[in-house]
Amino acid sequence: MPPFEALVAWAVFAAAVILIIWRPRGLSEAVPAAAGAVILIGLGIVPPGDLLDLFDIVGGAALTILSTIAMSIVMDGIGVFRWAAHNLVRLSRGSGVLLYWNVVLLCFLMTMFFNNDGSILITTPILIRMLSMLRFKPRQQLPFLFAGALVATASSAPIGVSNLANLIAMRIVGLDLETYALYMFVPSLAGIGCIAGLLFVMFRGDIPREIPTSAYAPHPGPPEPMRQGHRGARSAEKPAESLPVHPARKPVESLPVHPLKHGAAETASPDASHLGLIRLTIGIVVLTRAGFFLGSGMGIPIEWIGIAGAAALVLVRWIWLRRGPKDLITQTPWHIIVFAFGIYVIVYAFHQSGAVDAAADFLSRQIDGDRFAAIFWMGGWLTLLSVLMNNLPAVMIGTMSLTGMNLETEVMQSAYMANILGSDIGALLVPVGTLASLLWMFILRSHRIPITWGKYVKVAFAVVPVGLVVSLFTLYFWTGLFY
Amino acid sequence: MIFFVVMMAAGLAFYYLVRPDIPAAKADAQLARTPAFGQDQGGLVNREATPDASV
Repeated sequence: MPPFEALVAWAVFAAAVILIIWRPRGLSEAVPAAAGAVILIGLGIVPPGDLLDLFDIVGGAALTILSTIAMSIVMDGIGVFRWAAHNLVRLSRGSGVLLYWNVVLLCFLMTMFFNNDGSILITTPILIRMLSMLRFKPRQQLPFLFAGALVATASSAPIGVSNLANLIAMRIVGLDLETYALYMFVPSLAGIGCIAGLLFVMFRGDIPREIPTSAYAPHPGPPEPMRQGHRGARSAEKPAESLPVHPARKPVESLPVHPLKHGAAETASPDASHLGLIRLTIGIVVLTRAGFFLGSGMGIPIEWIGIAGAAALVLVRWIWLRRGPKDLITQTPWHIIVFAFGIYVIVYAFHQSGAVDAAADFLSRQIDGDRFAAIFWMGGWLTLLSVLMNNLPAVMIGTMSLTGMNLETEVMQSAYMANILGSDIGALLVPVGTLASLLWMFILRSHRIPITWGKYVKVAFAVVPVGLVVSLFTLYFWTGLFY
Repeated sequence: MIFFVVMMAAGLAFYYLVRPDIPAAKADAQLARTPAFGQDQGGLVNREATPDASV
């Protein structure tokens, strides 16, 4: 690529990454991505002939994530998640330790069945509500909040469909879903388990040994909302909201725009009479998610399965509640398609400019056909890239670099898996590492929970490196069973 | 196929964590129907309507 064009590609890349992370005035991430792509295509730096191939890689991944988000919007609207806070407390049977592990399980499963951003957006308010309900002191809330955030974000690694970047990377290397999960599920679980365990040890003194056994357990000195008169029908609909400690400030404008942010999560009511509907919708989500594996094995594109699942949910809701798809059309973040395509065009141009060629050559020499070296060098490299520029462009750059290294299949696949671990687990070292972590910080700030970037980094540096190394070691030994 | 089964099993755990708690819902609905302290409960407040009552 000529020097001027390379310079433009670098400048566009840097500007896009900064704006996506910074999001001045709540700017949608699709805007800098689209603007950058238009500049690069307009100047001919990315040839129009390549666009169809690029869209082919990105389009399916974006549609899969969109269908997942649409499903979470429908379920949130029905009020499926409203009982989660109450259930977490009930199932913990008075034990704070059990509550901690239940929180870890919920956050893990939410990301498995939706995606990492959706999981953060849905579970963080649930956890805040639950901790407020239990009247935990700020210090006692930390283990639950950190475990929720780190586990929810890292849990996009095990199955590959919970994260846009993973889906795109999977398409670049041409890996199918079942093989991905077969190689990645166990190493990812090892890393996530390690992080959750280390957080538990780190905060064990702050986790209350005993907690109320029910969401309805009385507390001395109820705050204002409890004194505002008779607990009427509205309180019957909102069992977990009765004791807010953090006064819920009106969501601030600086929060990133997201369909679930101001959505039904704050207004919908769980209704026992809708039990059948709730069961059915959970069943559809689980079947859709499980169907990804069955369908991809039969050669069915996973985006079709996702779209079918979302359509089934909308149909069920219409039959049951006579509610049409209007909210879905208005709340679904369609701009994700623009964002995914735009950022991929930008990263493609950045990579074509030779910006990371020197690093790729260096890594190629270090790896030298050795699987162990490939796993640790790529895991470390992707962690560094993610910390510097966010994991979405990082994993694209890392995966593109891999395809040019001419590695043997098993070394290439191992290095690719390490890429994912670096970008999903290693990226948790700093809030800018993943968009989900940034989103988490925004949510906490809007609830006046004072977790600073310094505090985050301090906790993350104590647990994430160990979790990453454990997952990389497990990847080496686990995948060794298949090669 | 393995992960189809894994996801189905995970789905059960997920349902267990988010399902509505029917006894709690009924209890809360009952609570909602029960008049609260200080609320007009009819009989005692309208005592003048039953002057022969012992209270």
